[in-house]
Amino acid sequence: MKKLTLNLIIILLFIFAVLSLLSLGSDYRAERALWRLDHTLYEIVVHKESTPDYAFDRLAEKYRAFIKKNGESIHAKRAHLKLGDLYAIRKDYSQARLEYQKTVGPDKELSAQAELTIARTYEQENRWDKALPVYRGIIKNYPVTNSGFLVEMYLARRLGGSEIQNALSFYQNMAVKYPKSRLEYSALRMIAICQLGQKDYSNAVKTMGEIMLKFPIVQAIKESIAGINLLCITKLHDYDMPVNIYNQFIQKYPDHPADPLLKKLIKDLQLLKNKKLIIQTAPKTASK
Amino acid sequence: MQKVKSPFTVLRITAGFFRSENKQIFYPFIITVFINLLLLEILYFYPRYPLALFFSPIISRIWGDEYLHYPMNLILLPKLFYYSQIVIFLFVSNILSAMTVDMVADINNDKTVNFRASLRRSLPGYIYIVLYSTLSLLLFKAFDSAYALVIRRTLEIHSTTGIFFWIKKSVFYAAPYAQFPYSILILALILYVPVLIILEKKKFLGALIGNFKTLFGSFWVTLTLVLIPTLFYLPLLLMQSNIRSLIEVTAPEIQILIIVLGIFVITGINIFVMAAATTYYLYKKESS
Repeated sequence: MKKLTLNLIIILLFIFAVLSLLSLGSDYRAERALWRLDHTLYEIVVHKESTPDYAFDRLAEKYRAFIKKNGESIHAKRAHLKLGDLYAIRKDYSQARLEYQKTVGPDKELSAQAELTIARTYEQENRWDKALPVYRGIIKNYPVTNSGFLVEMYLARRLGGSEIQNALSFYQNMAVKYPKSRLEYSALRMIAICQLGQKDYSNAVKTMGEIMLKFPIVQAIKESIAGINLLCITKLHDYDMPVNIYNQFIQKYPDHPADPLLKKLIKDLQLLKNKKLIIQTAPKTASK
Repeated sequence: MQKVKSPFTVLRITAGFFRSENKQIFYPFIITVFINLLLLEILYFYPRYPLALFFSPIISRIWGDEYLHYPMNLILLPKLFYYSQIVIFLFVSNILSAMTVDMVADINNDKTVNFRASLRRSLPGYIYIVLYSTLSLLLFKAFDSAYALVIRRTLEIHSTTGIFFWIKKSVFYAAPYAQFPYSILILALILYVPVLIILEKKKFLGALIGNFKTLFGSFWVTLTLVLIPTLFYLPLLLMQSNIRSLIEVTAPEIQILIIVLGIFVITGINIFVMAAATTYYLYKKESS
């Protein structure tokens, strides 16, 4: 029995050694090392008030050692980004920006993320004159990255006013430029949010209808139905608009799992229309 | 065979078999553990070259690209291992644990246990053992599906107090542990099928009928024979259901440790329960 056990253990160890050797050149080790550093950074973020300075310094040292070891790889770029975050936590924004800047490179997603964090550090310092051009640069240079795509909406929410119209135009362009894609779906959602921000409820409903007609997926249908019903019943008092949209959907997608629900909604909405009911949302009470 | 008064005596006698001179009774355990560890080793290396060449397209298509990177690969690992283990369970593990039946019968007849001879004698029943494994797997799946239905129904409960709230709470809290008592019951209900296939050379249906005949009048003894060894699985179940907290305080690699422990514990339980069932069956046969 001992011999058999020993032989099987040797086989397992041999295979482990061979697979380890063969995978020496892969990114896995770097990924793992970086994750561990990021995990420590996360711990520092959670307990930043009680973290002593030497813990910050030690982690920064480790990030630098990692960057040195991994040269110009994508992992080194990511490490620069995290090192920047570490400085930002310590409110050393100029040093943070230096690190973020080193992340900018051929990887557009990472670059957009780096630029975004640069802009945020300016914001932290209340330097909107510096932050705004960086945000605009992200929208111009990286519009189809995750970070770049959301910047217009961020500015619209943060600044309001004409920024909402800018965001609306931006997302309308994106929807036209990338038809039948996930980007169009996301752009249409953003358009609806902007229209809600402008209190343009009629167009918001049309956009929501467009979303569910173009993208008959669960999330899109759920969100659209909720939005359309709420706006049409409580704001527009127009029961024909949702009925038309739902009828179009049923015609376009017969046998869709959502059809029974939509048919029931059409019935309910017609009942509300016949009873000439006007439902309004309760006015917000002023907080004391 | 000494006189059997209670299931605890059966368990004590069975434990004695594993302390006897017949060390070859451990071979099914050692080989099953080896095969499972080998499988785990291969799956552990799936995101890295050269195994990534084969696994990457499959993983990214089914679960997404993020599971090709650390630490998400380790989050996916238990699931991958579980799916692959089903194949091992159906075609390899069960015939190996069924061989224990033959070995225990040899010890009972004061013969020396011989792995090769037991394998030769057990192989004709292989196809029926596979059918038995398939049946037990289907029964487990049936429970999973039924419990999923219960959870779905529970999700519709909106109560925040009262009996329905407590029902909802219990269903969610019990979810990780619900399969445990059910597995014990299923295993007990069809426990003698492999014993009859190997010892009495019965076909699958004959073994199934014979199983219920054996079970008649000795259900509680059989249930205890399964329950006591299976209790050793409880600590692992606790670890599995608290895996997120464990990862938080240790590292994602804890997943591997839990799988390895699981391999040893589950294989040990399966083989021990099979040996106990054989001991009890032989006792019943001799005493009737």
